[in-house]
Amino acid sequence: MKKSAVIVSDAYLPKKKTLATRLKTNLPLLLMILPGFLALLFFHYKPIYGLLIAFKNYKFKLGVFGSPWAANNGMEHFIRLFGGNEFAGVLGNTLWISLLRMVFGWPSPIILALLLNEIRCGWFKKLTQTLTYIPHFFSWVVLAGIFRMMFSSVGPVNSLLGVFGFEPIPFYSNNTAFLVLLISTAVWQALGSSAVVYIAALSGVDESLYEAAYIDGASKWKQVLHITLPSIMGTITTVTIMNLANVLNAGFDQVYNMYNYSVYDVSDILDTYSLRLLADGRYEIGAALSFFKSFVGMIFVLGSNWFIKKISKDEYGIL
Amino acid sequence: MKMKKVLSIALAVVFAIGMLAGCNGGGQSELAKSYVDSDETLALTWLGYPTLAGCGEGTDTELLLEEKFNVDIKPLFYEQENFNDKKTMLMAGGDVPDFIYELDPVNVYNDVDQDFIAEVPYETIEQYAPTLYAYLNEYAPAAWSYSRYMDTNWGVPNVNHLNGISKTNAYRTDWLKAVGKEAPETLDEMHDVIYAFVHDDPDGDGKDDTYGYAMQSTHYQDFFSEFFGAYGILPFDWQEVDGEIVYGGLREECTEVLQIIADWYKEGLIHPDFVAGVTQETLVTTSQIGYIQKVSYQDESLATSQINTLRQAVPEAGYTYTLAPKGPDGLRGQRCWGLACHVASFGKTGEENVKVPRILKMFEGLFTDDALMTEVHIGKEGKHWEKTGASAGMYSYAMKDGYKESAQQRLAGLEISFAAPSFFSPVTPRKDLFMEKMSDSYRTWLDSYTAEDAVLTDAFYKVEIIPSTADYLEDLRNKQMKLMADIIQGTKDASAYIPEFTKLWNNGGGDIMLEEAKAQGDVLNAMYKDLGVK
Amino acid sequence: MIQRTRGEKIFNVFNYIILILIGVTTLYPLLYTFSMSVSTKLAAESGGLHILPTWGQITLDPYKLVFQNVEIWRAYGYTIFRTVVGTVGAVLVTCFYGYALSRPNLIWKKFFVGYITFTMLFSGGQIPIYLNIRDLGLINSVWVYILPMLISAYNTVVARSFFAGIPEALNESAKIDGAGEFRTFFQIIVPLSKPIIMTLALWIAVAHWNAWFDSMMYITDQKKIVVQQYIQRIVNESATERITDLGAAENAAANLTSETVKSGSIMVTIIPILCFYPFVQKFFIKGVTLGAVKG
Repeated sequence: MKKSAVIVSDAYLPKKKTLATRLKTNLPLLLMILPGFLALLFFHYKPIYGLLIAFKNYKFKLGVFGSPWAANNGMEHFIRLFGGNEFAGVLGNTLWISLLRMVFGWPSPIILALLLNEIRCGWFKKLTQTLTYIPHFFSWVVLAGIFRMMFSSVGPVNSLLGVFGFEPIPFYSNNTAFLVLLISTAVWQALGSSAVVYIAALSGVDESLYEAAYIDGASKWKQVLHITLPSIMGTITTVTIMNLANVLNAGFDQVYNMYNYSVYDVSDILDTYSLRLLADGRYEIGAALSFFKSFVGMIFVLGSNWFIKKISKDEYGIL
Repeated sequence: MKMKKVLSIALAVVFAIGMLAGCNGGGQSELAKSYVDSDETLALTWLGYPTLAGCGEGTDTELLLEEKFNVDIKPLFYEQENFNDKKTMLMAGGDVPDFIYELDPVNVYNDVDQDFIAEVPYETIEQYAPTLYAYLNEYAPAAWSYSRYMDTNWGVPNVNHLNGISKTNAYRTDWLKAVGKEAPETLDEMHDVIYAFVHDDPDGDGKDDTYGYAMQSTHYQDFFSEFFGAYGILPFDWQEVDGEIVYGGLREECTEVLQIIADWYKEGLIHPDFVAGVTQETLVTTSQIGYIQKVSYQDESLATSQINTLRQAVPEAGYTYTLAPKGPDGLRGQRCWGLACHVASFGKTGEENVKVPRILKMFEGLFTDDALMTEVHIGKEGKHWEKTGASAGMYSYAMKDGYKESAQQRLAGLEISFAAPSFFSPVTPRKDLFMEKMSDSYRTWLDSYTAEDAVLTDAFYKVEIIPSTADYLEDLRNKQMKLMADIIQGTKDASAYIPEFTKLWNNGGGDIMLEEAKAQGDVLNAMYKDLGVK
Repeated sequence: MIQRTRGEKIFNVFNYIILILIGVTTLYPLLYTFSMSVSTKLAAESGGLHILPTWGQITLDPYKLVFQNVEIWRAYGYTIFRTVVGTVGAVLVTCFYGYALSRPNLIWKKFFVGYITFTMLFSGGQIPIYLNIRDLGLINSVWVYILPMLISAYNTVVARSFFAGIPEALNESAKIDGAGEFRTFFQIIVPLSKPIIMTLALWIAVAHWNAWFDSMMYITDQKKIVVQQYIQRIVNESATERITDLGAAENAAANLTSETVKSGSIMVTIIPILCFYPFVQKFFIKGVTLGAVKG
């Protein structure tokens, strides 16, 4: 700021934005925030004290705050959780399955959305999109039953393999084969429903951009790279970061309904492990596990958000 | 035992009175009147066995009980999947019901820890429900362990008669004829029959499309249970052997059994999908297997029973029933859950002194008054049901139109099984009443195809009574089954079983559980002493 | 017609093939469930892929079982109520919050973002949530179906990212014209945001339609349960290994197995969704607009 030789009266300086003025200008926006704010306050934050249960010996009649702290400085339940022989293996399985689900499950809906985007035939596009969404509506109880029938060692898939001269694959008793089955069916089930948000994003892309690029002689591939992908990058990064909150949820419903003792070594995950611990009917250990999962999820969300902000120079990122 | 004789006479006397009372026809019987101790209508919040979901207030059964016992029942129905969660949340919020049904001993323990349920000394039960008390001591004294915690009693256990009856298996009659064999009695004979079923084309279609042995489910209780049972072993449970508590899976004979199964597998007699969990039902209906594990009584008059469904595809199909096969020492059996079922507990509401005696009297009334018990289960004769006296079918009665579907029964508050407790009757009907309600053919079937020596149960009925079970057992069991599966499929040798499993056992908390199991034996002994039993 | 290169033509063919393959695999469970839902006991227990029902082995008994009681219509009433009211309410609340977050000048923006993101990660647990619902007097109230689901972190953050993609120039020109925030939102932003609004509506409506857990947990008055919980009950009752297995035999008077009843219940749930889906779909799938003039 250049120092002026002339002293100017305050009336000509830009008005400092006081808190009051800012609130006034923001009032409509704050009013928009209000309903959601209150809803979360009453339904999510009011019971948030439950996080403490993981650290206490919860006696219902005393309430959470009145209950005594768990042994070992409140860490008794965490010790029980982490101290089991199985924990390391189970945690490893969970991370590994989560990672595989991400590696294959992250690009697939995007690719599906891009492929659908290229279809010119309107009814085919809509029909296919509808069909891909359907598996989302089936619970894993049902899907697991269907898969068990299809992939059994004397089932249709193995019979087909036999026709081509291959040996039957023991999907349900071989660790690797089971993982392949688990991950591919997981990706397949979520494919259509995950793609919806990308399809919606793509539908907002201005057609004239493609026309201009075509006139400039850009190939289809270049168009995708320079027009399509950047236009949905915001959605992609947002969804990715949000999904990382679930890093320790390796798909309990699916695993529980599909696994058996033969493939325990690779498919026993944190949630199925804790189910056994919960058999004695006490809540604290479930709370401890929840807390642990939330904590790790938070680390991943914060971490990925920071990373994405850094490499996109603050353009993307949710926080 | 002298106690037994005294009890039997007492029972007989009470039954006689009950019979006379029952003959009184409609209205409140003399005996029932004696259960009402005051003019005060007691309000009872009733959290019952979660079987009558959704039938709400004002069912016929509720009104019946209210009238008979001068109570005002407020029924609470929770779905079984979330029963424990909802019960806990209800009580955590401060509403403790007067009557609380507990599905597992573990729930009893937790509710005691949370100070939700009231202590019920044996003397109190004996005072207000003497017949029931005596019967439990006689018929299933081990059931009391379900309600015992910290050397005190916390409720009234009940039984399930079906779980004390041995399992029956069956072979396709037409297949037996086709391969020229008789229904097997021993394990060796079973081998020959299954071998023929797999290799000798029993369905006569010229194709090699039949399998041998498959299990009804992937639950550990069905896991090659006949084989282990032929040696008297329950591989996944606690057993008492020569006065000592041992884990069945560590017994030496397991090696021999596994060798037998592995040999069967090599000969192609075991369905290759036994690990993944092949559904026996589909295999049976499509005539892919001829051996049916744990078959239930087939009602030939019912068009949709399994046998008749099968006959739609294969008209000459039939079942030849057998008991579990005998092993070299004449032992046989398959796993049963044992008679003990659930526990009826009482909420610590501050009014237990008044309400517990009344509820106990309700139990006694239900237990001794056959007419009442019948009406609670299947309703009034003529309105809800009628006698059939049929010699086919499962029952000696049939539900009338308007009450045939389970949804309709629900709405009327009826639960038509006499073998188990129900929402409004947490007391199981006596075994002889249960047998009386059967049809002649079903009773004969049970006589011929079930046997006491084929009933194998965990030494404690429910293995979860051992506190560390939650931490260790299911895991160990899964590893154990995997090890067995490997041996059966030939990847490992049977001789590796004991050493490998022992290692798993020791590393997986086995000794802790063993200590607790032995301690539980002491708990049981102390309990029997308090009850004055054995 | 825009000319395609040879490479693009080949890609096009492969695209169709891949999508057809995916479509077929996702169609299969639907066909399987449909044919099981109309199969007799014999057909249901036979093996095979069940792509189509076996001719001559068709029965409507599973559907009859589901619809036989009046209770289901009452349950439908509650489900429809919550789906309509709940969706409208949640879309409004979510879009408001998400839009506000997308405005660059929002005061305390980081706080509001953190406020909602935290709820995605941490939760108080089943019992405190139940006690809270109870304290708010919502046990057995029909509003327990609507209020807790008014906003969720995932939906809001996704909405915000869509709103953020709308050029700021539009807001500024509206401001110059003298429009306040609300008017700008409803008259300019919303018409441009149909894809995300309909996507949210779809997600939320499906969630409401399929919801049963809150019904089971917080509603004890059996007259107020939603259709999903009612159907679950029917399915459980028909499961062949029941607590009292003698009782199941009586119920087998009809041509039912637990599989066919389960399949019937799934069809009953899915068919209404599939019927409404095309109406929603056209908002977030772009039709063929190649060559159209865009302003």
